[in-house]
Amino acid sequence: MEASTTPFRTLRTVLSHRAHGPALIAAWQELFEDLAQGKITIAQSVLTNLSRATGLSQRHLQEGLRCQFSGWARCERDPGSWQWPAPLSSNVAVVAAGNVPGVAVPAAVLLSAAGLPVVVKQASADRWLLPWLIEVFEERHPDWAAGIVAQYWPAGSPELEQVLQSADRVIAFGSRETLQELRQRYEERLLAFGPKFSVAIVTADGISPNCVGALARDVALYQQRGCLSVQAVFVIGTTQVATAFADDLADALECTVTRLGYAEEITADRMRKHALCNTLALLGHRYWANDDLRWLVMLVPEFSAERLVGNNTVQVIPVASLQQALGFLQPYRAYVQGCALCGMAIESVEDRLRTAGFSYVASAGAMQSPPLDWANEGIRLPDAFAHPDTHPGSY
Amino acid sequence: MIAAASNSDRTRLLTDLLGFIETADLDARESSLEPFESLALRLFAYQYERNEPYRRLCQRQGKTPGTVQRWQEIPAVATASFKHVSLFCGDPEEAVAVFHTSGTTEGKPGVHRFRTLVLYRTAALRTFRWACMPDVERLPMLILGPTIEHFPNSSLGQMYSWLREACGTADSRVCFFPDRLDAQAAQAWLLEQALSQRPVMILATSLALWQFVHTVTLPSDFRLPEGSRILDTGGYKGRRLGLARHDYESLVAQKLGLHPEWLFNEYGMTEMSSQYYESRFLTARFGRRAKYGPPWLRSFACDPHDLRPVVEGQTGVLRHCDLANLDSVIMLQTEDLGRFEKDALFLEGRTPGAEPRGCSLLVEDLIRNT
Repeated sequence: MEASTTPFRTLRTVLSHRAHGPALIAAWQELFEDLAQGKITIAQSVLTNLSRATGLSQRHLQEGLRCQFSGWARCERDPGSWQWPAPLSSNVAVVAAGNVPGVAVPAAVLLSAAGLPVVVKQASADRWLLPWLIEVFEERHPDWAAGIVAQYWPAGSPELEQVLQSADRVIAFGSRETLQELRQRYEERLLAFGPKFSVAIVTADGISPNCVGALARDVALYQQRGCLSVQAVFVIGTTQVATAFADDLADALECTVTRLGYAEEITADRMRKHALCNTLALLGHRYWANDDLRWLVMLVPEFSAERLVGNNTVQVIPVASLQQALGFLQPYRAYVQGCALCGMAIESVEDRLRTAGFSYVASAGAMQSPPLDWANEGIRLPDAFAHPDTHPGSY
Repeated sequence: MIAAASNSDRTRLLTDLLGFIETADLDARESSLEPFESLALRLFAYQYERNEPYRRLCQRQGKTPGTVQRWQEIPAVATASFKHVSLFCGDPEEAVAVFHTSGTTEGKPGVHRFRTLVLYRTAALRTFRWACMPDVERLPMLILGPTIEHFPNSSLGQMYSWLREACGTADSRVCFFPDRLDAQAAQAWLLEQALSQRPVMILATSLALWQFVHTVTLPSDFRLPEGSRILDTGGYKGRRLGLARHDYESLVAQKLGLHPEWLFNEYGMTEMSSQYYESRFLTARFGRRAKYGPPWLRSFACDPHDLRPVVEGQTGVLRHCDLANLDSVIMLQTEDLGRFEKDALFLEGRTPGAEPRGCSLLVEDLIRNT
């Protein structure tokens, strides 16, 4: 499809003269590595704007972004082995969510490196990171345009509509309502990523101060706004072990949340936390909470989706086995995303976890560091775009 | 022996509560504060003793009948907790009525059980008459909302049925059913009443009333007979209808041909047995348009951050102390926003849940689809 006056036209011209493939990926990875190591400082304007838009402190954002950069600095597979789509074979529009900064970055980088023009419709809460990354990349590689346009347009604006109409493929991140609306209009072209949650599984002998501290960070980074934030911890062990773990996690969360800072939640979310504490007390379940309700750890006999109230709220569930933990999560198979592990080697359980619906399995502490080519919901980019006739899958 | 002693305690408490509800001066709340507080503390002690989950909550907060001195200190139960916990002073088998909260996006309904309906009925009828029909004994009623016959687990349905029985004429009509709103039948009934110039009472949920006025085709000069009145309830979900309450009232009044001052409103909930009302009669009585409640229902607003009471006039989430809630919980914490100025309640909707981030959306999704 020929773009007329959309950014795709300019991008296509630029990309027709630019290299593509593994070399571009390597260049991006180098940049992310430098960012992760602190060799390049995140622009103050980016941090200031993100902080204002998200309510998260700059310190919090720096820590979260460095985790993401360290993940994007590596690939699970050798880019030389990827299935690459033909350059310029598709115009790609990405509709980004704003719950966590940089949601659209991996997709944009992977597809533009493949030589596909990518236009990112940014979220109102995240308009600064990707444009800055593009700027830094192009400064480092003057001969290589990033091949990405990242801009903010309000939903329903004529410019956005034109971009979406001109796209051969639309990748969207967001709520069910947002995705349903896009699906109604762009079903054939849509690749959608909806809301998900992550958990941790811990063995009794895997519990250590390092493990607990790492899990506290997995909970608190981005204040549980992202799909990779840990919302529940299954402790394979006795109730006593789980109780001691919950107690330690509460201490660790107090330290972590104090260090990172806390973005005041909206009133409705606050009331959900109050109601949850109320219900826990009525049911006689033990819980630990910061005086200001900035975090909440509860010891409960089973997993419940209704307790996923976010803003640093964690269910700790004692289980007899991995099987029992997965049994609790079975009804939510379509909604699980990542699993953090303590006390288990990833290789020993990864297959079972993937069968259970998880697309990211990592050691505790690494939840915000998936690799650049992480197969979110099992979909690998840019491979999924290698065959234009194949519908890559949708939400 | 212990059970017998408990039962006689309950009987005495029930008698005293009923006596208060039957006789308290509805126009003079101040004079009934002392008996209200005395009964509230007794009821709290009874529920602390008989309602195990509630006792756990109270103990967690360090509040017992021995330490609570004022009604405002009685621990509150979040209305959301009714979905997860049985909050009943007794064996569920003893319940004579079980009401469910209306469907929301959040999974299973809350449950409110009653061992007796006498307090709820007495409170509902007395307050309704005071607020909506102090001037007339009975009116033909059109019901565009649930009734207990068709909605056996609806608390509002139970109330509407009582109102029809006690305050409606024999030719009152129900036009709201589980599968439909019978707008045509309602229209025909209204036209008939208009012809005979008999004032009517319409009881409706806000949404059903809205649907009705947009479905029917009444003559452009249609007027409800003088003295007619409409009571809408169920909470005005302004966001759902996309317009402000004032605009809603204007439109309904214009379509049905009556002055907006004859549009009344009720604020209640399944978890409560008592109600607040807004009506021209109460406006006239108290001097300003607001919601007013009976002396056995007292409330205050709390800061949503820490649930501490806010000063008078400040907006907060509402907490209600309802003496008619004998066998459940006396104090309820809602997520409704409002403020009090003396006894006048001004509702300001639900806690603003503007596009919740991440988790809240996720929860709604998960619960709806699993």
